[in-house]
Amino acid sequence: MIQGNPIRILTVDDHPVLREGIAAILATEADMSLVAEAGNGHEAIEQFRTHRPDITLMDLQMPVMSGGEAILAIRREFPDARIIVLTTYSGDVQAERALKAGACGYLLKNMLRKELVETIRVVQSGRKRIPPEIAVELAEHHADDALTEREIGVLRQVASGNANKIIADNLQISEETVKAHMKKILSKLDANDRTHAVAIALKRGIIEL
Amino acid sequence: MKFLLANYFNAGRSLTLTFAFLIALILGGNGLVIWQFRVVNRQTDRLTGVSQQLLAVQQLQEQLFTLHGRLDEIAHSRDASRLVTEAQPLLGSLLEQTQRTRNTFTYLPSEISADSLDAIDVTLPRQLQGITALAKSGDWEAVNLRLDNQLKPMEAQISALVSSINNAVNTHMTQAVATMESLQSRILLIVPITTILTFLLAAFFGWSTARRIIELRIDERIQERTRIARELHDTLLQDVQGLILKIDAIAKRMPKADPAREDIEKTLDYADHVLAEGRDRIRSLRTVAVPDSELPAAFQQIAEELSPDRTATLKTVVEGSVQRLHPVIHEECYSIGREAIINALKHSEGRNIEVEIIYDDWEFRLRIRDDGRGINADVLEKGGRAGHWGLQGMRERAHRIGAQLEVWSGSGTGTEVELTVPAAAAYKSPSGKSADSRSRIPAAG
Repeated sequence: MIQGNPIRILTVDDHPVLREGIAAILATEADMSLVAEAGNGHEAIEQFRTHRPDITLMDLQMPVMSGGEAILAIRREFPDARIIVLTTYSGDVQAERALKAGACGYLLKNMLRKELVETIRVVQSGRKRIPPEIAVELAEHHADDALTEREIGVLRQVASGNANKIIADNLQISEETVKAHMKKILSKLDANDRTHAVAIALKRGIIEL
Repeated sequence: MKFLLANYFNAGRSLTLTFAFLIALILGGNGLVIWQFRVVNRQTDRLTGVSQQLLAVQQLQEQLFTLHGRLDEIAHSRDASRLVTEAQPLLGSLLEQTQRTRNTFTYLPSEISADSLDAIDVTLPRQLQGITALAKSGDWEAVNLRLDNQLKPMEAQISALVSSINNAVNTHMTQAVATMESLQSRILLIVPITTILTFLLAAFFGWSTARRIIELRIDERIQERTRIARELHDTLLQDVQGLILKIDAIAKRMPKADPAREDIEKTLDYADHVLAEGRDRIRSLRTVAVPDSELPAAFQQIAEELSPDRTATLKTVVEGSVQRLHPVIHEECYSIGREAIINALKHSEGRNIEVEIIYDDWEFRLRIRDDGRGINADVLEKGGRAGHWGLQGMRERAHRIGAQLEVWSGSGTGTEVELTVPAAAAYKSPSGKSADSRSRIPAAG
């Protein structure tokens, strides 16, 4: 069973119990070895530099420094770093963002039990691994026009419950422009109204709660 | 703690002003009543004063008459020695009475001049001396003449004094009666008004307390909801996930053939499923984006966005003056209204939708009417077809904020939804202090 070196793994998550769970799973695999743990993006970068793991399991939402930023930073320094994203919520836009940042795998936390080991092996072998449901979501929206930064900004304001007039004030644009953005957002997200648009955006990870 | 208490009892500027105003009115009313008693007191004092003066002057007059009578008698008897033995003591007591009478004028309030008393004090003894001298010299004619010329005018003066005091007594009496009457009517007015004001103050206090309690309860509920969502996400969700992994690792160490291992894995599958469901529920705890604008504008926006080609028209009627709603109520009213408008446009396929927003003093009402297909009776009864109409959700929302939701509909007759929220819960307190209704829970992680 043991052949050559085990796969060296770094886990990054701000919840210790979850890290313990992952450690327990990894301990059952003879060809995997957990070399370090980190509780936020900063620690992740440091641990990565120290241990140079083969695989990094990275949570996205963390205090101090988010997973997304950490992925970018690590990949900038170590372009070969193989990083698998761990997240609670699905959402194609969030996944796409992570993949663009250089993640090689994507895992929802409720899939860890069944998919973790397999995903690690696939990514270690140099391939990418994305769960089918997220792949479907990604494909479904692949042809969609992505929301521009400005549109996301407007949508964030809408999600905070602001009326067009206030959004216009906050973003220093005219109310007409806000309305035009809103129209675009509704059509891009295929939403009925602004509330629906916010719900879709939250679901797809375009904006965060 | 101090800050907290201050915050809890912060009733807002205009409420505090109203309280102060009511309390000032009540104090003023009570002050007026006490003032009335003072007025009565002064009136009775004055009345007592004049009656005592009257009494004193009448006694004086009587003694003067007695003295005159005695002098006349002595003049008749032509006995000069009696002038000394009988007239002198009479004069003495007359002078004493004069002094007493003067005292009543000095120590009691009076508007009548007591100058005529001086005539008695100063002149009478001198006149009596003159008369005595004449009598001793035996000139009784001259004595009679003097008695007539000198005592009569004095008597007349005293009579005038008596009658003027008498007049004063009458005037004061009439005044006292008038004062009493106006006082009675004033007290009859002030006391009920003060009572009503006190009652108002109590009612107002009760009302504002109730309102504050409702407000605090709603704020607390929101904070609680946010806190629970955050806690569920941060600890429960992540920890249970970790625990599932740990148990899974333990199961993996069991022999593959062990039936217990399969049981555990099946159970863990279910746990994963439950967790995924919980995760989605936590997210849905706070995903409503409610515009900050007033409801009429917000509803108009929904209609514009839902029906961009304007096949349906939405008319908004506002009654009463638009008031700021409590953020939570605003959110729930918006959500209920939104659901009703979506129903009207999408399911009912109404052409004309009428939104009536009524800002009443006693309650806030939201009415949404359409001319669409309507909801048939059994759907209405069951609280809405699953996934459709959202009637159940609307009812739950209404129930949460202590509001009443009524739905009238029949096949083909359109639908009318009416939401009624009591004013105490609906309107934002003037203090403007309320929890941020849009606190967040952390995002995916």
